[in-house]
Parts: sequence; structure tokens; C-alpha cells
Amino acid sequence: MAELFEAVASWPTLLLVLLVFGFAPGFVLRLLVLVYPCTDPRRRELIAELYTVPRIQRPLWVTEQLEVALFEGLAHRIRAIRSITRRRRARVQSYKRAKRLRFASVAVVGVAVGVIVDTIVTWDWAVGIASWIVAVAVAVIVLRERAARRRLSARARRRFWP
Amino acid sequence: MRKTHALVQVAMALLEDPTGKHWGYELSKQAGVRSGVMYPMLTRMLDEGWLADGWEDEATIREKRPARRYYELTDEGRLQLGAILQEARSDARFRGLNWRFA
Repeated sequence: MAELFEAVASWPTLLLVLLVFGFAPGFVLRLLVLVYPCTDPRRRELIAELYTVPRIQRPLWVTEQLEVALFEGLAHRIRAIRSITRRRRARVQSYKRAKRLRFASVAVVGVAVGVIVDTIVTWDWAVGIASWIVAVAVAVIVLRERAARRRLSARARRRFWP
Repeated sequence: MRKTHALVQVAMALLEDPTGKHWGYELSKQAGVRSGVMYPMLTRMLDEGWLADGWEDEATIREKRPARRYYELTDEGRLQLGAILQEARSDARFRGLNWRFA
């Protein structure tokens, strides 16, 4: 009996009780709510509700929240990721379309210049000038895009590894 | 919304105080429904417009805790949940439930 009393009243038991009923519920719940997207009000709600749950019931209540977080939070998170991916894909597509349009307009301008020049000088000269204009314009576009990409990746690097 | 035991129990708990504020934990205790079932149901009710939500005024909190989120029944919610309870009362599936109010 004395041994049992000593075991119950020992320091490790006290630490275990403090951990299970004091520290662990709040810590685990704060980790669990990270499953929800950061804009979801349920993150704040669940943390606030924890303080109204009697201390003795907290470990079990937090375990119940695992179910909520997995079935509700994960679904919200997946939906949020999907919408971000869709938006990003649309942006990439519009970027590609703009790029194609830019190349097409350069080609049209080159041909138009060639035709105009053809009326003034000989055909060979006109073709030569037009192809030079197209080549220079394409080179300018490619260089500008490369510089923009480099700027973007530098900004992304600064954002994630400041 | 599918009529389940949990929905009927939550409807009963909400309609016990149709104009008052309801808090997540208290509501789950009152309705006797696990929070794993109740929170998704509250989200659906919010989406349907049966409930409105808000945050507790921090100036009124005496204890050392963050502001809680509350739920209030809307007019539409009172109508719909009342209708659900009416139907459930005559449904044999819900005969075992503890009907708290007339």
C-alpha cells in the first residue's frame, strides 16, 4: 500500500499529470488546428473553446478534435489548395497566351515592314530588313523575359529564405 | 440536409433557446452530440443560412481566455429546424429520442 502511495505521489507521476492535463491538450490542439486554412475561423474557435472544457475532459476533447480536423479541416485545406492551383494555372495559361500574341504581333509587324520597304527598294532588301527586325524583336523579348524570371526567382528566394 | 438523430438533437438544443447565443462546447453537451459530428453540421447550417455566427465581445470576458465564437438562429433557421422537429416527432425512427419540449 505504501509503495502504491509512493508511486502515485512521486515526481514522475506529477509530471505526467501536468503534461497530460496541462501542457499537452493546448499544444496538440494548436498543432491540430494548423490543418485548417489560416483564414478559417474554426482555428480560433477551437482554441477558445478549449478553455471552457473542464480540465479533466480536455485530453479526450482534444482527441475528438482530431476527427473534426481530419474530416473538416483537411477537406477545407484541399479545397483551398485546389483553388490556388487553378488560379496559378489560369495565370500561367494567360501568360503563355500573351507570349504567343507578342510573337505573332512581332511577326506581323516584321512582314508589314517588309511589304512597305518592298515598295521602296528591291525584294531581297525588303526580306533582309524584315527578318532583321523580327530577329531583333524576338531577341529583345527573350532577354526581357529572362530578366523578369530572374527578378521573380530572386524575390521568391528572399521571401522563403530572408 | 439529411435528417439524422444528430441533426434532430442539435435542432432541439438550438430551439430550447431560439433567440439566444449558442456556444460550441455547451451545444454539444446539451445536444449530446460528439463535436466531430456537430461542428461539420454547424458549418452546413451556416452555409444554408440557418445560423449566423459572431465573436464574443472581449470587453465582457472576465476569465483569462480568448473570445469564443457563438451561433444564433436566423428566422430561416428557426423555421427550418422547427419543421424538421415537427417531422421527426411523427417519424418512428426518432421515437427513442428524449423530447425535451412540446
